[in-house]
Amino acid sequence: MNKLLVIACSVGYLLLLFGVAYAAERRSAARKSLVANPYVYALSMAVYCTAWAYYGSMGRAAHQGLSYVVIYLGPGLLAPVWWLLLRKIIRVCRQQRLTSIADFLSARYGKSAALGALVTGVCVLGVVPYIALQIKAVASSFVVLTGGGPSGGVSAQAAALVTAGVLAVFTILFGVRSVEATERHEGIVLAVALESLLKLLAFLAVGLFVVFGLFGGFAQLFDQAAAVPALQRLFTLEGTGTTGGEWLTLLLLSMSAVLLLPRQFQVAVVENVSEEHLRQAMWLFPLYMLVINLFVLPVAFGGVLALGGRGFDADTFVLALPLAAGRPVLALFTYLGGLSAASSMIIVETIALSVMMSNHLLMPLLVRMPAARPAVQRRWFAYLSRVALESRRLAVVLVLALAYGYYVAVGHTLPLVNTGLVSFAAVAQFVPAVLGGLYWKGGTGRGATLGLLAGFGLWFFTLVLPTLVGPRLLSPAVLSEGVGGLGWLRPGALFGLTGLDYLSHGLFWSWFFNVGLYVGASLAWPPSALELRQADVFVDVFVRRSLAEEIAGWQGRTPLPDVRTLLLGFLGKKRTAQALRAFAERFPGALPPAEDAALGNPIDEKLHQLLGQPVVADPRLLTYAEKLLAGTVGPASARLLLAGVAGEEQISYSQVIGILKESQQLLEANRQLQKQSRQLQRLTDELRQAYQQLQVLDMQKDEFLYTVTHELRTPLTSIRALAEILADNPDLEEAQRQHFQHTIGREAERLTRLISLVLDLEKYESGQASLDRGPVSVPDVAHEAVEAVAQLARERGSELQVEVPAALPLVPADRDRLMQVLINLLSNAIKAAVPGRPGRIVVRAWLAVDALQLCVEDNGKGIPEAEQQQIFDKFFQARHQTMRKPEGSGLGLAISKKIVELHQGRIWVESAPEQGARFFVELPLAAPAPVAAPLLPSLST
Amino acid sequence: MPNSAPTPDPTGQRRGQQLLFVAVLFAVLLNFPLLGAFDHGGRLGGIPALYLYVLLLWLALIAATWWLSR
Repeated sequence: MNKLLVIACSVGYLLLLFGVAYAAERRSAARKSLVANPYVYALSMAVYCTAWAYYGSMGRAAHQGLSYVVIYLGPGLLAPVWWLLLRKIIRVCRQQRLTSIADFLSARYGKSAALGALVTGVCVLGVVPYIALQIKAVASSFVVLTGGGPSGGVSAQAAALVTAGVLAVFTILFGVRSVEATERHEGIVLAVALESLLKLLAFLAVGLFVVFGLFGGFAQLFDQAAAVPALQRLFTLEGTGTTGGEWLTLLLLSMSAVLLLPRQFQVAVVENVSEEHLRQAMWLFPLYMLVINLFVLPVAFGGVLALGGRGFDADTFVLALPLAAGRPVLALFTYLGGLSAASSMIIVETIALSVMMSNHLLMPLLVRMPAARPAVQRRWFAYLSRVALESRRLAVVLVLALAYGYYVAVGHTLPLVNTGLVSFAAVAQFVPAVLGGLYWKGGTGRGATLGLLAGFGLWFFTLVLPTLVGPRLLSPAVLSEGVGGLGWLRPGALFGLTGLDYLSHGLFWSWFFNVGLYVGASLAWPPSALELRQADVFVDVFVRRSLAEEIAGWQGRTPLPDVRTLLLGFLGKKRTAQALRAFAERFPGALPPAEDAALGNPIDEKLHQLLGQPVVADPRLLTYAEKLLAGTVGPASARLLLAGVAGEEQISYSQVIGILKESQQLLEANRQLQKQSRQLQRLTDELRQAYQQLQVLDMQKDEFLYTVTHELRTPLTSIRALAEILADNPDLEEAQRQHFQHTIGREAERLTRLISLVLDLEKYESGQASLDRGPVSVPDVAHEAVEAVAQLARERGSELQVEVPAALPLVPADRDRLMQVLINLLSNAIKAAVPGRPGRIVVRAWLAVDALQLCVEDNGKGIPEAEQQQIFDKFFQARHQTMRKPEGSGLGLAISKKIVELHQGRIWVESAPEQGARFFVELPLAAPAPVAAPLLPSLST
Repeated sequence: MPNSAPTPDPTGQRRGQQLLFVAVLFAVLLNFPLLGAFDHGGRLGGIPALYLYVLLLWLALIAATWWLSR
């Protein structure tokens, strides 16, 4: 393909990126952000898929089958946990204004400058080869596309150099704009998201073309592959020799990488707009991974099938296949996809590294130097801030130069995939310190430093050393004989450990020493007060939210102007005024009232100075200022800067422990209080319910009394009236007199009966009644009861019938009470007869499950459904006197119900108006369990 | 000290645990020894069984995450 055309397209594409980034920045300035949505966020995370994914996966798939997929599966498996893990990291970083993994670890472990520098060193050494890899990918894809000389020739190196140069300019223009590293780079993010989209589309295009265009579908492609033994072998992991251990190692490495690689930290944490965006990114990002990997294996197989034996590197299949098929445009598109994958990785990685290098390697040294004279302090700070910015630009160039140098020196002989995995293993060394830092308060700076040093050392020994073996570097004897001829120092089998693959072996040993030293040293030496405070801030970030709840370490009488000078120097006038205003809003009263006015008013300031009363800065302002500076120069340098104006940060043990304890106690007290208030609420509810019940009972009592007295008055009235007649008319006829006396007797009897019923009912209701149980024959009781009411039935012209089988089992019951119930039901049935129609009453009984059921059936006037429950209430009848003439006391059913319930039985009615009624009584066959016997009766005897 | 009551939202906490469970579950499903059960030369509809197994479970994982993160 025409070289000029490819160059023109590449340059055109990169210019397009400039345009996009520029537009995004403009929109951002106009507060119409293009990137503040979860889709751009998820796409920008896809910077994880580099040129290595684009080209290298193909090579790995062509040689090792499915194992390439693990590198993208790992992030997918980790994604659901982001809601716990990444959200916590984002929250911590936002609160503490941290902008890189070095910031994070340094701040967590006592704002240690040494640890920050160490982390930065590991990142640079681990990641520069990875960047070199991207440059190599661009260069070799250019060579393949243009059909130029062999890979590594002059044209490839020129392409690499140009790429590195253009990307350096882009990164400096859009990635290093402000000294405040917490500032988000909307232009970069949008460009990266766009590049992610482009590489996905390009990859899908070539995938679809190969699978459907060249082979006619997945099934056909796999059919053809199955016919080739070398490819058939790749269908399984067993065939490729991928062990479970290697699979797991790759998973762990990719999980570490997606969380902790500097570029991932940059896009996922620093460029995060809102924690809510994680919700969508959690599934969008893995979906992206899945889609982009869908065609890798088929295309790799297709490449081997179509191009096998023609000396093509499998890494270049995505380009070579369309070219061989005579589709140069598709090949060009694919090339641009690869270019975007490489460039986005280089840009973001370089930004992240440049900030780390400047803030952790350079600034801690510079900020220790005091200003020449106090008078020029502000200018000195401003100078430092400019140095910080310029040093980042320099670092961008330096990183890219290093990467290019690495590519030229050794990189071009390396296969794509190994270098990437070795980089992953380097950042995996941060995992113990990061996870421990987030969830374990006991981790200390000493432990983290020792663990990291050991892990890094072993990483270098087991994973890097073998790659350096070559004619110009190391002799192969190192691998086979061990370093210095010592057999236990073989990089591939350290301490004689064999049987693991290269990566698993390296990861095992490096993590073994890393975790061991981190935990061991943390436990061996107690944490300092500052570490303890920081541990609390990190681990409990979701519990304690505000700055105010943090323990302020800066004390003493620091003049406010000094603090302001510091801020003005680093942030500039505008930003300082903004920040102080925000502070004053959050903590009203923390700044002296004059301060607001003095902010932009040098005369007031002078006045203060003349009066010799420097205003003292609030400790909270010092903490706030430290955070602001941490966002600019990193936490370690910020602490040093503040120490320069406020003296050492003084956190005493007793203070931290006291405050931690206090806050713990506060938390605990709060929890207790909530618990108690809930209990109180419940008690109140119960009381209210009890009160309502009492009220209802009281009302019922009143009603009952009223009804009883009413019922008593009726016979009394007639007795009195008759007695008066008898007294007033001594000459009454004998027959008449006898009739009256008889009536009086009958009414008195009714009165007595009523009173004894009421007493009965009271006995039942108060629970004093007891049953005199014994085996009772229901047929006997039924016949007896029918005999007892036979007289009444005859008077009313009703017919009584008993249909009770004689062979029913005996029921444990109180015979007399049961009789009372039956007589009551029978007499009710007799009374219910409709005038003019002969009553017909049947008593039935039968056996049900575990119970015996009795039924008294009549053909009387029936009971409406609405009243079927109420008739068992006492005096229900009496209360409805208006509806019908009362017959009986109105207590019969209520007492019957009580008796049946005392037997653990049930009583109910089925009826319809004018259809008669059926009263059912159910009695359990087994006597209820007796009251629990005393424990261990044998002991008491 | 402002009283920002430290009451962790119980549903949010539950959601986090559900997501953690999904991650652990699929990590087990997508590792040996379970992976080994599909690590044979067989093909389903022309597609190698292992490839299909990994892709389908991956899709299920994404769907579960989507469901829980709504």
